[in-house]
Amino acid sequence: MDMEAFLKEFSQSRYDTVTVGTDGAEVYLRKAPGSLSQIADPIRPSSEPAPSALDSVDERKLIKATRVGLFYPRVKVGDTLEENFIIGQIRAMNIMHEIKAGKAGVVQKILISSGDAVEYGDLLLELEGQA
Amino acid sequence: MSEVRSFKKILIANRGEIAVRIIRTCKEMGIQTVAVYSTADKDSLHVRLADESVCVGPALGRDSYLNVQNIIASAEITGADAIHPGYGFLSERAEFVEILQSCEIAFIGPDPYAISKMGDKSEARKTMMAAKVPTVPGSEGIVANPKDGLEVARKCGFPVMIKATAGGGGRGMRLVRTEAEFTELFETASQEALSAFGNGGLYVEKFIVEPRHIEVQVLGDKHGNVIHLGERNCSVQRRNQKLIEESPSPGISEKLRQRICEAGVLVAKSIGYHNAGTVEFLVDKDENFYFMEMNTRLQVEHPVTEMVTGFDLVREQIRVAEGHRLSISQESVRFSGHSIEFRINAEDPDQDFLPSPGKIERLVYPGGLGVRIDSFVSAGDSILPFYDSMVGKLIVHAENREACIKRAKRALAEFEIRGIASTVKLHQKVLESSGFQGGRFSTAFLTNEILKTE
Repeated sequence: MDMEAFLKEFSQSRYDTVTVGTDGAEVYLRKAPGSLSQIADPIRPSSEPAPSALDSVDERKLIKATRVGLFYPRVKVGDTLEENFIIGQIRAMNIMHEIKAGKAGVVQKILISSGDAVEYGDLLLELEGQA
Repeated sequence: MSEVRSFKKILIANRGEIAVRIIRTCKEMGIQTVAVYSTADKDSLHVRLADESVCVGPALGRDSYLNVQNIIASAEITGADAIHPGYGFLSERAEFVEILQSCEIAFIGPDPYAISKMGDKSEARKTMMAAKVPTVPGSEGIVANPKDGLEVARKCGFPVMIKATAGGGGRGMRLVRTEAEFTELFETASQEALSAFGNGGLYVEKFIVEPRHIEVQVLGDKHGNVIHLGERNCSVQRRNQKLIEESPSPGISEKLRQRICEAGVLVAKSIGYHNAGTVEFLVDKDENFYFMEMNTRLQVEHPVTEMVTGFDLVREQIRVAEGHRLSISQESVRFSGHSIEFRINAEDPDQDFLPSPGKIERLVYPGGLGVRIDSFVSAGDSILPFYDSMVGKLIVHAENREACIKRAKRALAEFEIRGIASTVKLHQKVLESSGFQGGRFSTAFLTNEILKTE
């Protein structure tokens, strides 16, 4: 199979990654997030933990934890955030890691109390639409 | 080092069958468990069995099961006092163990010194030479020219392998059968290594003809005691991937069994090893054996040793990490019967072992006397493309090898997997072969005798 045909096959497949080649000469390919297969893939579970009661909330208005640790919010309801705004810190291995908002909006709810544990994917803040 | 503590909660930094395996022992010991998982594994069995669970990252292993910060933070927020690494992932990373020490979280495994000493192959070889453990004869490091190389080759005896020090993928590697062809092959190998790696340095090693892979299970505590729990024969393999393992090893003399097990203990003692480890040897046709490497962790194939000794290796690992002395002495180890393990992988042996991830439509495990299944999936679950392709392990135990083979045939015939390809049929074919039944097979057996006749 030539390269173009192979890439086409891969992009339409249900796999997100592939390693081709033999010992010593391998190429690792990974699809860009949000590519077609992630929506159509029947076996890939959702990459986000179930948001339970917040199912109806627009994903774009939620800020989630990308680290495990203890969360200390530094914002209050009503604050206007920009993407680079530090919304708080996550403490792990005795180090405080600053957490950026990653999206803009007005803080509507703070879902974690100061000092509570969060895991990867936990909801931290809900924003009000300024999108 | 002699302080004894009691773990109340253990975090298992792994997934799949081995995470389930470790949680089972923790439950029997009354120890709380914490599972970590990637978003792709959120419904996996280890997450359901553990008392608590923490999501540590997205699907890819390097973002989740290899995410040191999130895994240690998971131990902190759950109050786990120890981490069991399983095999693979973080199990042989000395720097991970060092970080745990600084966080005052116990590591259920050896100390960083032993891990790094055995992780560097040339360092391990040097250490073993000093401890007078036999290693594959050959040059000490790089040979300067064909003349020096030929001298080494004469000393170890033909055939020899010429290998590139910067090598990989077979490049810069030559099998030399006779003295007459040595110089020419040395020069082409050197040129090939130079153009492939920018380093033409070569070393010479005796070529072990039709070697068998025999490894020794060792167990040490922090008080200087080291014992062995017998050996395992793992010669049924393909490209260094083991498929079938058994204990005791067929086709070797009682004398060799004794000597190789004693050598395993010597290797562990020479580096002050504690916890469970495996010392791998190559054995040639004349029963000479050579140190290959030491794996400083629990092995995939540990259950065959558990079946013939009756000891729970994970329990011993936990007790040793707590600071206890070994609960058993060498003299009290009793070997009973024969055990064989079959790795059931989601791979298609007819298509060069192409991984076959996907949803398992139907799955029926064998059962009955002497049959053990270590797995983590049921019908309806999926084998995910992000991780290794193991579905589970079938481990069979019986009073002797002949009875064990009969029981294994019976169990494999009961095994039903639909929706994905598997290695079940290949195992059946191996069991039917006279080569396997005869008990004297080398690491080339699967490729040369079983796969060739496809």
